[in-house]
Amino acid sequence: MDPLFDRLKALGLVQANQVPNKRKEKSSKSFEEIIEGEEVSNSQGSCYLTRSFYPWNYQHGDVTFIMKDDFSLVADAGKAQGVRGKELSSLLFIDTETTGLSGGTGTLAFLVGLGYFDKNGFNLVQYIIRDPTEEASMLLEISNFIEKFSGFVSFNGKAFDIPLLRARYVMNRIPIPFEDLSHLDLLFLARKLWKNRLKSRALQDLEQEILHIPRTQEEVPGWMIPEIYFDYLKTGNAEPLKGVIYHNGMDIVSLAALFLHISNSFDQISTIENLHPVDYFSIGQLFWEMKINDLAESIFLECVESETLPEEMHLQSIKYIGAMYKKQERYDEAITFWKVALEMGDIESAVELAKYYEHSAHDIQKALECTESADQILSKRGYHSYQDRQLRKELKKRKSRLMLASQKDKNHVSTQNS
Amino acid sequence: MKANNFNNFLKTIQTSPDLLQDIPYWNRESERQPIYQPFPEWLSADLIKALADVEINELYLHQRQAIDRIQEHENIVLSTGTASGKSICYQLPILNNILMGLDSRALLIFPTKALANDQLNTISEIKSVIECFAPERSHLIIPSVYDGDTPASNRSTIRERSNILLTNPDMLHLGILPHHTSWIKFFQHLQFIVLDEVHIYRGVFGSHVANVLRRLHRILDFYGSKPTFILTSATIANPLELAERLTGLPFKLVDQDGSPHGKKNFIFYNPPVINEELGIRQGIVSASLDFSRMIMQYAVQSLLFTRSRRAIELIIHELRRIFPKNDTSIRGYRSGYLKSERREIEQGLKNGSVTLAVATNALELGVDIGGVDLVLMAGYPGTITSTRQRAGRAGRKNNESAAIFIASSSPLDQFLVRHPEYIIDKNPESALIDPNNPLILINQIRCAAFELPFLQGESFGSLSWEGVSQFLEVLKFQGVLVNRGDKYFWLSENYPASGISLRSTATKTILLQVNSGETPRTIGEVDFNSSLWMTHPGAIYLHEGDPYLVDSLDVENGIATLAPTTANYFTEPMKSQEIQIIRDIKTESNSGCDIHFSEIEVTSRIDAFKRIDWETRAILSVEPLQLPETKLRTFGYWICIHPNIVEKMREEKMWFSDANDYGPTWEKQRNLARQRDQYRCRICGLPEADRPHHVHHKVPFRMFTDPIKANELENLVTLCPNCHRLAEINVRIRSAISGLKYSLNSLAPLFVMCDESDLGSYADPAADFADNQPVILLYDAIPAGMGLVETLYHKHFELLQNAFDLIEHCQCQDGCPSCVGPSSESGLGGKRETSFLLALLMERKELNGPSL
Repeated sequence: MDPLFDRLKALGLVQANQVPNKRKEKSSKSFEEIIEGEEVSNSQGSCYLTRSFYPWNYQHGDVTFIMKDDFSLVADAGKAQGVRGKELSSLLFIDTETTGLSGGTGTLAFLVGLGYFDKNGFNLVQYIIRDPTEEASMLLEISNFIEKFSGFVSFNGKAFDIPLLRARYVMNRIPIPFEDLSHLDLLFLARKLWKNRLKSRALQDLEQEILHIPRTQEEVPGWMIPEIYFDYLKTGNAEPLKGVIYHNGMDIVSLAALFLHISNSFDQISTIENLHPVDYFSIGQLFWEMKINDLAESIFLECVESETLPEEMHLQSIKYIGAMYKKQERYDEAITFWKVALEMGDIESAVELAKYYEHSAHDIQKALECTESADQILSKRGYHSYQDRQLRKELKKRKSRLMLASQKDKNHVSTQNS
Repeated sequence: MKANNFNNFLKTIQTSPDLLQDIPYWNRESERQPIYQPFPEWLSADLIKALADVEINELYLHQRQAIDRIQEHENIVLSTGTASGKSICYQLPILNNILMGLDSRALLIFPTKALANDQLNTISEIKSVIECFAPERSHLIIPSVYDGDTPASNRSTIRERSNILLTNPDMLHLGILPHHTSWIKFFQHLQFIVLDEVHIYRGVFGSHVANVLRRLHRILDFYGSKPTFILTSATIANPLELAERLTGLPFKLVDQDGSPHGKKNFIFYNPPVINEELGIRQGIVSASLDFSRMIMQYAVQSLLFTRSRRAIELIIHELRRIFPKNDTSIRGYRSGYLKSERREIEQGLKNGSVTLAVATNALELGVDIGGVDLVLMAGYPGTITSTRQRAGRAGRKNNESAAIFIASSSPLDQFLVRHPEYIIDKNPESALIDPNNPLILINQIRCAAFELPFLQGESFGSLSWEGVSQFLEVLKFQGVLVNRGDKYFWLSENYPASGISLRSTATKTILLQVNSGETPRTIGEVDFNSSLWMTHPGAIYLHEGDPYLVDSLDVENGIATLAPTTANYFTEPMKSQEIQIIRDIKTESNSGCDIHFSEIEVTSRIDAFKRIDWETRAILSVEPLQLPETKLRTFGYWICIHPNIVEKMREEKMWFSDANDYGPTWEKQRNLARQRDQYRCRICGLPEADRPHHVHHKVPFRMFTDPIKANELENLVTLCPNCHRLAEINVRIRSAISGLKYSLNSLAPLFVMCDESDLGSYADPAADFADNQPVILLYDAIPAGMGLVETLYHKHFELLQNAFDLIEHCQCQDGCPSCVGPSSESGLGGKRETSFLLALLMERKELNGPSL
């Protein structure tokens, strides 16, 4: 090694153990011999791609690949209005494999997987660079490829893949081709849909828990991927990259399957019987948040009737309905729901009732009763948190205010009588 | 009223003989008239109107010179006094472009977050003035702070839209450059880069910042931008050199200060000596309290700068006792106070409701408080530059003002109080940086390679491709770079900037945890090397004045565990150092000594530590330690003393020290020792003849508080008169070189603008790397050095002269912490020996030296 290295060692700046001295065997087989695919060339040079195809009726776990004519509800729920009313074939499913997760200009996307439906089924195209000098060529290929699509579908692409690709385009001085594309990030939807049922909403966990898809021996875990690519660059041995290509391909096919699954679920919300009851309830919550009110209402009403939904979600559904009617100023209907909830021991509904009686119905006596009930439930349960203690204070305040008002009322009545 | 009070205050000092005798120097600077220049023609009418609103109708000479040059796209460094209106010089060109409707962006870099926020307020004020008469144009001005405190939700808007971005070097390094692609528009339209207070960028921090700017240049090249650089600096010796070394660009210096000021007094106060023998003076806290009383009595609006937070609390506490009613007119100001509280004090200083603010350096940099009548400095702030900046806080408009420097008993304070010319006249301090320090480079090149691939043949600032390629090869070998075609690609999962701090070279830090209560509390951190001597097991560690006992030091996991203690002792590590000379770079032979500038390796080990009683200073015990040794490859400046000098010191029969009263047991013990040694000299074996041999204390008698202990047999040895003389001489030489080491080390920061801890020192009466001749050595305390000792090597004689001066004029009898250091191990003060040696080294005519 050169003298600088020795100097740095003497300065204590590089330690002997920091130095990787594993010189692996150079591969005798070329990249092209190992990875089945084709080389593509353009003005920026060349890169490599592999293709796969999944015909209609392909079964990916529980999901069957079939044509979807309308996925507007998914687009709405995923805040991707740009793909609303578009054809399934205008969606581009995307996932990248990168040299790190930290982001910043020093992270490369060395493998970009793109999937799309056409009249025959699902197509997968994976661009891969055989060394970093091929990046510009790959990006240019992707630019040309993207032209005919109107939106991305990804899993966490909004925060990771797309900003990273944007940086890569800037670094290579190629215009960013996707600034006008809409983006449906399923991570956002998945978090909402399965937060009541699953501990982890990572794509691979959804794959197992929701879609029931096993991965084969070829799979490599995501955290190993950067190191595999670095090793390949150092040794030229492309064999381990096969696992990375498999991993990326599966991610995209599962992404498409997840999209179809969510879309199918949304098509079946007429009755709770069609879906896992918890998922059904979660869809209601999602629609409520997205202000798709008519659908949310019908879902929660179903939930209220349901025998299979866990107690806690049952109560929540009642409260959602109450809140919804309150917003629409349908108080008569709202109070029936709040009363049911109060029967079940819900403090918030008691408070809602008190508010209603005090401010809308001007029935101080009833308002006082409801406040009393809330206070009783709370004291029976005990004050466990800061919120509980705050609530208790509020209730006290409300009570004394109501008492005062009721006193005034009485005085008023008595003066009138005299 | 105020002015009158101030005059009375000054008069009181002037007419008090007690005070005057402790004021060795009083500098009176007469008032200065402003030199005005008209606004240039190109300046937008909006700006002229906005300036008129704050009663600025003309520019000062330096402001006009600066903006003219900036308009010509020349890089300028502006070095004028405190409160001379430096920020207008960059505000005008930046705002002018924006108001003209250009998409012109500016990057303003401040050494601290507080300064950036302060400047944001100023620019926002200008904006709101313009808004009154030209709202549509004022909206074009979009200033934003972008630092670690900026909420994530605001960041993308700022990146996209802000055209005046205020940040700090750390954020540039960590958050902006590694994400430059998110800033395309900003970089493409970047017209101005402002670096404020560049004198702060020195040493390790400055060298890192210079490299961050090299990285910035690569990014600017990538986006094809060529912004103009505007730097401001306090008045230091080398602003132009610093600017050019920091940025690698040519600069024009603007330093003709056209701003006015009133009469200025600079008073040097040396508190009276209260113990002659030990050279102890009245402390700076007590002296500042005396002045504070006067300040409050006359209601003179003042700032009192102290060196520590603790001193602030002490002073405030005392003042509150004396002036209970005036609670809100006396305020403390330091980091750690709430932001709102600080704003309130700043406001109070501006509107006059606060009379006395006691502050640390938190108030030093740029924070806008207007001017005060009086600035008191309790102790030297560490650099002349910041002394002058603090003094510059005194003076509002053209009123008379004063600064008072209260000297502590440290050698530098004592030196400066006798040499006020260093503070009053031209600043001798040069801010030194070494952007090519390999330790800093290897880290910065990692970051640069992450940001943009290095191209074959690319240089990095002043580092040529030959230099760059060596570093790239190392990084390649470490497996983070891959070379393909003509590029070096970053191929690692790491985000290198996150592991690199611009403000230290320490790669490893130790957290200080206190186990009190349920969860351990972290009170601070020290770097690995310092941890070995500051927080070894058994050490007493002082944190904000409170003592903690170190329970354990876990080097592996980087944790030192501490517990509060009430122990009435402190600890002192016993450090052994070995020096190895790698190669001599420069040497010079003088008649008394050779001086060298060399690459060296310092091996340090903490072998043991002493427990020392706070009250009596007696050594309670010596405890051995088992700690790893550390190696430091760096540069040293060393003085090797010629044998003829040693001989001359021998010839001066200076070993007979004043007779000690050796206590009641002495006669008996002396005889027992001779008996034990069989009446022979233990060195040469000579038996006693007609007269008894001498009995020598191995550890000198003075070191003991108990004479009986001193006279214990283990401490006594029988020596013939000749050997005894040699033994004593060695003690003398030892104290001369250790005294010289101490005084050189104390004075050096004055010449290289660094902390005392940035330099290490070593003295050896018989250094094996110098043929057993006596050696004094100073070294840069960071790996590969910062260029500090190279400068010292070139200032050798100046340094010696000043050390001599310091020692000769010290009022102590035989050495004190203000000159040659606390009594050496030998128990001798060493003052006479040190100045005798210095006189010889300086080749003074009267070679027989000062009488001893």
